Amino acid sequence: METTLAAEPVPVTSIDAGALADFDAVVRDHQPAVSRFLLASLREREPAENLTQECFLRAYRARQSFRGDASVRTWLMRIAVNLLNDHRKSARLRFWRQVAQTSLDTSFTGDWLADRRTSPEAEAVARQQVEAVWRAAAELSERQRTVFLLRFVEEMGIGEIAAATGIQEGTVKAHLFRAVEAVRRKVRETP
Amino acid sequence: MSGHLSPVEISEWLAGMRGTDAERHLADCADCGAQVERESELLARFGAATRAWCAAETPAAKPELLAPMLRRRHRVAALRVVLATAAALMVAAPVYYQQQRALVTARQDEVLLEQVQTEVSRSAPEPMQPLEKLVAWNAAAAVSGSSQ
Repeated sequence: METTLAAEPVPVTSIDAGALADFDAVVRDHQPAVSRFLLASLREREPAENLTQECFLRAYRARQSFRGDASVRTWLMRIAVNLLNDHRKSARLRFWRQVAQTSLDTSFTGDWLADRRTSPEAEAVARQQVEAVWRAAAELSERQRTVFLLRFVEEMGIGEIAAATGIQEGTVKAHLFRAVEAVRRKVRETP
Repeated sequence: MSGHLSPVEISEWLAGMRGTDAERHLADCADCGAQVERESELLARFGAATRAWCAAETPAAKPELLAPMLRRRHRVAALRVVLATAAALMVAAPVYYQQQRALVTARQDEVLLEQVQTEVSRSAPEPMQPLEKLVAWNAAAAVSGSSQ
């Protein structure tokens, strides 16, 4: 059976080192994604904000060494993933462990579900399913969760994820497959 | 392909590993197509929900404020390096000059000692040395005169 990778969900813009000349624009364009990825990974606002600042500070300091081998987004995500790994090593990550045991505040989901679901019942079902995905994500290994979030929250392609995490594409696929399997299992178990 | 897609094949498809057999089957099988679409939609909703949650969690995160703050932090870090270097110099400079002074003094002492040594090793002071030679010459002459 011939297997191909799915098309990249978000096209990678071809850039060169000059793309970092206007660093304000880099921050403006990429800060939301970096911040979102870190917040989704950590689920704690303060460390996510600190790491976001640290990520851009490191990028700012290292901007002269950026050669444009990857997109700016991939480069920044790589810095963010490294910071995240360092942060995890410091054992300050608690939310994802807690979320596996306690209930989640998903009141925020109302806005994004409102225009998709018409009936309250359908909305409740959708909310439950999303909660189940969140819980499943909480139980994934750190690496599986990183890959899962980069794919489904940041909508990055396999190649981009490999570049951002520094792991082989085959390994990314394996982690992603296991993550999807685990999430589907969890959703199926949801009453 | 007989029957329907297996759970593993569906997971592979959702993870982005898409085989041509599965693609062909999904085009023909309404049940599998509906299931894959349902699950893809759930993952998309998860992504949207997470993005919405993140946006709600960080209303104060304004990119236009981050860039100047980064430059400020960068300047503060650079200033810290300058201050640390200055402080190190302030501590190190007196020690260095003290060492240099000690070296110069030691060198001067050595020169002085050498001079003293030279002076001490002479049997007569320098101004009297011609006389010493004269005495030595006279003594030689006396010896040679007496022998004749």
